[in-house]
Amino acid sequence: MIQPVDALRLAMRNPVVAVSGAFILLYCLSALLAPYIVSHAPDVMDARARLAPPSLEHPLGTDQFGRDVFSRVVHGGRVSLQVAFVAVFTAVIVGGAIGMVMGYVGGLFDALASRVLDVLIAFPSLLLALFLVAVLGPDLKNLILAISLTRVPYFARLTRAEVSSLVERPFIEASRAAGASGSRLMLRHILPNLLPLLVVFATTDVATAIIAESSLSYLGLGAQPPTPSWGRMLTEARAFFGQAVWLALCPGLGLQPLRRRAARRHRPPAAWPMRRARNGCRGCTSDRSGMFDLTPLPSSSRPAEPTAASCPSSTKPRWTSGSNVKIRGVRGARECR
Amino acid sequence: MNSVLLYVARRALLHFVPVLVGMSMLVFGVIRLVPGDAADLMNVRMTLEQRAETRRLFGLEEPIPVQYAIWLGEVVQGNLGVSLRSGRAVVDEIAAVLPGTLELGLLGALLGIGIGLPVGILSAVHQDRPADRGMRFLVYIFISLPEFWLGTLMVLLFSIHLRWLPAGGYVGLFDDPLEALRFVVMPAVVLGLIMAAFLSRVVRSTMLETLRQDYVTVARAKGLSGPAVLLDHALRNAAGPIITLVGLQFAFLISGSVIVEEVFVRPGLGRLLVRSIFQRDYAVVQGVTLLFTVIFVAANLLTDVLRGIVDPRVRARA
Repeated sequence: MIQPVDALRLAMRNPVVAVSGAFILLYCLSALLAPYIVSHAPDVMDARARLAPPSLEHPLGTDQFGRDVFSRVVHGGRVSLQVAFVAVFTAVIVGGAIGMVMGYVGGLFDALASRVLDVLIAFPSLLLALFLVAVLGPDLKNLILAISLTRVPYFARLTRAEVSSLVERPFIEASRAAGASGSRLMLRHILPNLLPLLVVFATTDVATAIIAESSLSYLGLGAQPPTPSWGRMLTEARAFFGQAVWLALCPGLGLQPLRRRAARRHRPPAAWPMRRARNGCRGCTSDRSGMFDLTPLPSSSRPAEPTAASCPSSTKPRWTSGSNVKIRGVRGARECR
Repeated sequence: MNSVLLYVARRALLHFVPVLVGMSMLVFGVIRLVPGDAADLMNVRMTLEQRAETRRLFGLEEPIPVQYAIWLGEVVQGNLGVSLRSGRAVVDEIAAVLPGTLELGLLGALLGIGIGLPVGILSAVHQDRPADRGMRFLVYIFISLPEFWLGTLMVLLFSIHLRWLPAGGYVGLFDDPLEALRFVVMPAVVLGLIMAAFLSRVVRSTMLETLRQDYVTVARAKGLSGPAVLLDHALRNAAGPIITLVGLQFAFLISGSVIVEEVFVRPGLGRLLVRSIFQRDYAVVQGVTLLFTVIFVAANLLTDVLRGIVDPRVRARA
């Protein structure tokens, strides 16, 4: 078992991890402290300073209404983060609960629910979200609902697969023999064993949710004006590109490191014990939507290479047994030499 | 060959037909959740008799399951209803913009595979040498770029500053092939580059895995040439995961084309969908969503079939 502090030190030795970690920290801090960082409110218009180029007063220039782009970028990040966190959190709770009952109860309920999840997963995520927002009407609340609904099936499947393998373990049998009820088994014995997996997937899924949010906002289906949002800012700026390049560059620059986060997704942190290797899944799912990243990561972004001894047996991609859920261990350690 | 057919039939019947039925239920059901109905959407200044007439005309008086059965029957026959805004058949609306989206999607996929495959293979062959590092860096950048920003940057560079290509719009392929190409090249490159980036990572890693296998060493020891080993022995065996990923990328091509069409103001299925959402034209939204999902499910079925053909083990397992 690696201690968290050691794991952090180990991870920081890799420059890519260190740089992206710094990015993420900066991003979260700027979102948290938004009102203290910026000198202008994001929706205050200044008719005299319309489409002003970057200056000391407006570090990233102003938009067509004379609003400070820097302030809007910082506050836009706040909106994105909020949407992403709430959406993913909801998805984890709902999906986790469904998956846990599916894996624990099994039988007809499991079979029926699996079919429903099959259907939900068969939609490309963005399309499903678009469709839901179309029906619910475009606003921030519905956007969160739509994004979180597209993530639910993934968490449900993941949890189900993990629970159905946990249920077979001796410690569950032992506590059942000791007279523990079903709810006690699920909440006290199974849930704690699920948490590391769910936390890792949830954090990586936040990046996907942010991209989904900005894509939908770009289409005009997310946050409605004047709420700043990176996707929305790019759409609104389209008419003014010729006059004001900074309008196109700046919101996008904010998004740039995020995909990088998305690219690092599904890698368990070094602190996470290697127990996932047991069923061949080291944190990668096969995904029909294409929004999940299926690919193993380039070696340079991995914090710690496994030792030669652990490599050959633990890195074979395998299908998890006993389920029709295809969680595929695309192995994380291709480069072990 | 028989076993392939059997496998395809089993996959289609046991997995894809239930999924398609479920999807049609979902698409149909969710639309019914909208408060109000067609009569409310069309015109507020209707008399009660006119409203009743409209409701009867659209079959809204029937119970929901009956409506679903009628609707499904029509859909199977290729009738997706009538657009509430334009009054034209949804099928016609779709047919009008489909060529543009197909052109974009196919060219994007072609570019994606055409770039992603060789880059991934070369990257694996030159593992950890400068060529590999350089390519991986580029791949990283393109994975990080959201479609709409990459598109925006390209418009800034090639349309506004260099004035080489039109910033947006569409010309039919059969009206003026050369001009059509000028319009489609930027959107397709955006889709293609991002798809290539995702694809090349999988190609690289699966190739690295197969290149390390004993049979590759044996093939080399037999004295086979480099390309023969690479293509006949390594790539053939790495094909399974690559095919799966290409199938999954259809989801990206669909959602990507929605966004890219918006960026380049290109008429197509995606823009039709987004416009209909804003106009609350639910018949069109329903039709386009259904078409997209059917395309995606079909692509997945095709993926499974291809995998079954390439790899007999997959057939046996299913």
